[in-house]
Amino acid sequence: MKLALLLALALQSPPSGTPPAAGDARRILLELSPVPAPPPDPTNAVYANPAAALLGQALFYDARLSADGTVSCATCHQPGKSWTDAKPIGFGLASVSRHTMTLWNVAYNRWFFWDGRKDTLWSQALGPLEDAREHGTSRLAILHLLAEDADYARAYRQIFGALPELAQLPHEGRPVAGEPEHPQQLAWDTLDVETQEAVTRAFVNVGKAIAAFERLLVSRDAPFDRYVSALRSDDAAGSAAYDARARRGAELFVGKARCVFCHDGPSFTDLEFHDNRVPVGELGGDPGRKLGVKRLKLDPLNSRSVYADDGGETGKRKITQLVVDSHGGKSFKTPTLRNIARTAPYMHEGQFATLEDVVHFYDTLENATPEIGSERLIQPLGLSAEERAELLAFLESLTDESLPPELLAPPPAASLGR
Amino acid sequence: MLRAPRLAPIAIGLCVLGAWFVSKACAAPCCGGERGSGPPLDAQLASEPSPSPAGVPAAPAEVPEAPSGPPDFTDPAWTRVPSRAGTYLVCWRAPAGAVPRNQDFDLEVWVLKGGAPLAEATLSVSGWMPEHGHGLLQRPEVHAQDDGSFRVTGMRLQMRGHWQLVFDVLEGSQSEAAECALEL
Repeated sequence: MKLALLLALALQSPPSGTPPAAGDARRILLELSPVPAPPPDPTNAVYANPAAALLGQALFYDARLSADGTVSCATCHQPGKSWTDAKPIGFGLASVSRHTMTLWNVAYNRWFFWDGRKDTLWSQALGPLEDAREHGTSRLAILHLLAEDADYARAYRQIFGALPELAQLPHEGRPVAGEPEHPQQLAWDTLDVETQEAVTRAFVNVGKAIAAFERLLVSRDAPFDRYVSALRSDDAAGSAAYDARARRGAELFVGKARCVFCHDGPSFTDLEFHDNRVPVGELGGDPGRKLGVKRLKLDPLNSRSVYADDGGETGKRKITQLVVDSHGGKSFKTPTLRNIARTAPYMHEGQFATLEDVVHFYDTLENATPEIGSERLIQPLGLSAEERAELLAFLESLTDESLPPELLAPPPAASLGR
Repeated sequence: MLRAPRLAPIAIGLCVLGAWFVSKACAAPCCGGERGSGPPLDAQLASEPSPSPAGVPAAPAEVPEAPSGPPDFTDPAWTRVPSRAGTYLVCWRAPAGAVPRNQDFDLEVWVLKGGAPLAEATLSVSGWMPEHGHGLLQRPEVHAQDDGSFRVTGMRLQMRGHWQLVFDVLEGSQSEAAECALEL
């Protein structure tokens, strides 16, 4: 009933005469567009290297990077589903414990995963490869694949130089934290430290190539962007072309509905973490950021490691000065709202099936978890049905899935390393 | 005028939330997959290299210019904040210009007592959003400079809205805070 009413309101023809945003609302809206060029990544020397991006694209779509040859990055990050899988909880070789995050505008992120346990895009890309429930493969298996595939080997050599000598090394093997008797760990232990280091460095290069590809997935030409452009240039006709309901929704977004406090900036995220008091999902007990910070600080592949191409300089401050628990509650990363209408379901465990559910929750805090930590940001909004529909129209106007079609599938193998 | 380099330990960062860096046990058992698995993290973090309140962080890489005395604090670039009991006057500015939102920035801070820069003081800096109930997400580091000022690195005010910057001055056993409102 609620959904039907909201949809009916959203589909009504917009009332005429809605003026463009003014005052504070206009000032804030101008800060939300345009989307700038992605920031440089000093930890990844090939972040802007087209050959690396092409190799990364091939690896992204290649299911051979999994234990049984069935799972690629694109299994969960499907281009046809706005780089998600449309499932509440991600599923690779098995079910994981959180909802798959979209890759739209991932190049702008400061932290990765819902708990921010990774702090570079390349390191994020490596995590699922060796996770038993996702790709379930290992760094040694991946390097053997690269060495045995002539196209990959050529491309890798061109970008990064020679692969480590692999002929005498096991076909599987990786470090397995806390499990010294794990077969993968035992295989890894047969390598001397120098070889382990060389293998890990090549494995990191795989992540850096994938990151170079993922940085290309930028959404920046939504109806909202065209509205802001018109607003900036006082183009009345251009402003009027933007749906009037979405226009009022935009003002609610930066005003009464308070969304912009967390969903700030051109990617509509403050890049940080909050306890948004969403009902605990079926899995429950997720500590979120609290555990993510601890894991990041101990991660041998974090941005202050020797594998960062800036010598760990960026990571020194970023990680060392990071506080473990800033809010006291269970915090999760603020996701981007770019293409949010195409990335259902929502929240870290996919607790809400539709955007209507999300807006209803923030409006009423129905079934919200108690305030445990100190953060008091989330309060009931008291929106009218019309206002909820306006917010939905605004969120829909953040949709732009246009990308060069060649990014939506693996590149021709022969193009690698050419 | 006091210009002597200070030898006192330089405290770091945040006071508002108290023991923010006290590692806590997880509310639930750590599981695998997205949340991962492995040995208890708290024990591993005990050896985590982190700035401790007793530590003296290394000075920024840049070489400071020769001491030339305190600047003109009546310049509009400076914000002057008296401490609660009026013992100190904290003067601060962001050398790179306006305080940005959600980006790292540094502060230059002078603590004046009786109109002169205060030596032998310890300074810590924190931030707080009273309407949101949270503070900073990273701990700023405070570095004493030879000219009597403090350089605060790693500041980041991550959200728009009303912030309070808190400068805690510790002189001997006496502590006094100076608070400053900031709208981002």
